[in-house]
Amino acid sequence: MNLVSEMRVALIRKLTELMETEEDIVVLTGDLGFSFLEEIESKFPERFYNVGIAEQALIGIAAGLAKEGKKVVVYSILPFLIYRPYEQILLDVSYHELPVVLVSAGTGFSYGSDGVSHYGLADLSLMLPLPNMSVYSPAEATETAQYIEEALKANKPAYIRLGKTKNPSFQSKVESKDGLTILEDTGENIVFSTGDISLVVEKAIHQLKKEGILFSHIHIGRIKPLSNRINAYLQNAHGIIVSIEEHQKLFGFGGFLSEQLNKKIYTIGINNIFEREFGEREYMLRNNGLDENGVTNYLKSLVKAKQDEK
Amino acid sequence: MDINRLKKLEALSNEAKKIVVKISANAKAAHTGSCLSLIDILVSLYFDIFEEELTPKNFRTDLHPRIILSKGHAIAALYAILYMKGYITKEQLFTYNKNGGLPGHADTSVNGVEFSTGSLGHGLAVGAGMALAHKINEKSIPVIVLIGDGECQEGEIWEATNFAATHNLNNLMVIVDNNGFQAYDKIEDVATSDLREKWRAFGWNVMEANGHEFSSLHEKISEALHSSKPTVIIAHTIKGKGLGNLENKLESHYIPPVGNEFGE
Repeated sequence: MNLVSEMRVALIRKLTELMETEEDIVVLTGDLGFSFLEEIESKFPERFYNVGIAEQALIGIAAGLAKEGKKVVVYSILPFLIYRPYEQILLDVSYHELPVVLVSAGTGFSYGSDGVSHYGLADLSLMLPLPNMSVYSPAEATETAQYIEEALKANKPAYIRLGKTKNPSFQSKVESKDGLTILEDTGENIVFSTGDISLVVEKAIHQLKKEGILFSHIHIGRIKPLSNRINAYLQNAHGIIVSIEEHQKLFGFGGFLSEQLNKKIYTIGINNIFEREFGEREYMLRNNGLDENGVTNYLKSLVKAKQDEK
Repeated sequence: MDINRLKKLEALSNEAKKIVVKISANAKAAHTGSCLSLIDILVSLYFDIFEEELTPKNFRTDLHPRIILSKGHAIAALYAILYMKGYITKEQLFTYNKNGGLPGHADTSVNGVEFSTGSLGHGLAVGAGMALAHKINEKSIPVIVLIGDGECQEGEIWEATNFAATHNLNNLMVIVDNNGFQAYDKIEDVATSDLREKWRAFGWNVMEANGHEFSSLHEKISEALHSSKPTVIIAHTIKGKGLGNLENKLESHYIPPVGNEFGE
């Protein structure tokens, strides 16, 4: 039985393939990865270490290995990988520009019923400001495999954040290129989204299209460095520009884009309050207006407000 | 230890101390007490144990033992040694703590500094990662992490201690500059547990040395290099040793020296 989502499976499959030929890759886990890291452990026992429930040392040890020439992939659940050892990421990895690829599972409300301790709603706020750090936020499996390879080849610090959507793939069969997936290129309004919420957004935009409301939709799987190709799409975007993320709006993806692109962007995401009512991801998304209906209605209301202005 | 060698090391130690107080006075810098408790350990490593290996020519090669100054605030002591061994120039030395000059904590922008530190508790895990890499690569490169006794209050120290024992990183050595003080208090007022017992419980080889006696340091460090387990040497030291009224005082952590405490 496969207990895990396909983004992690895709990543591990690609990583295993890369480890066959690249002997310097070492994998560390903070005691997580049951049911999908075992393949790497059994194939490469001398290059796989469970550091244990000790996240500060997990990052420090990764930095030490990388300092001596290893390329290190570190896996854990998002808050334990990013929040607990943030100073070690900042000083030991980012400042020293070491080839450590941090792979987190559990963006947004992926661990919905598990509560606040397991939510990943502020990792972008912490990771995007780090100099030298590439930040990947894929939505689907093929893209994820692409990014682990890209991150390891770059030989510098990187962060890959994974959601847990089952069978994650876009309806539109377009390939991700240079960190961007152009899902719709149809109008003066444009939506940028990131992470596996992009799969929900794609459905919402298809729905709107049926109703005659057109939005271009670009999924940004590599947020940093942001591809220059994005400017070509912005030139035609004379309407509304919207960002959608399963992350706090404050200091998140939308804010980052707004600053990078120097544009007014309507941000859709999670409000700056703690959740005190818990349930599965779909439930949490619905409560936060981030399910397909919520996104559709919000985009509609933005278009209407814009028309009313005119 | 041969009397001539001992005299030579003592003379080098005095020279290093002279430099520490001069550059610290010049910069009106803090942390002189921490530098003077650590400095004989550095003299032992750079001029005795690894006299041949710790050289600018070997730096960033497999011939250079890895020395991580986890208590990065004692950097003036390392600068003195790095100058005496030719890693940095006299001109650089006197830019310590000045705008655009040598920084106030360990930073890899300075030739000879293995890893940047400043926030306590980081160095041991990094050293454990380095030691593991050398084990995987089947390379014999010693990794020595210098930490403070106050620094041992950081949780990451014990996370890394556990990891090193589990993976039997016997190429990893910790030397604790056990001077009895931390930034606000005496250690005994904040943490009463016995460091030796703690490290023993984790399964390390535990030794003690007089951190100001070169024969004691020589004996213990040499023995630790051949240990079948990771080793910690608790080096008993005196904060601000030789600083007159400030010796063995918390104030030596803050008040800059006059500059002539060890001669003109």
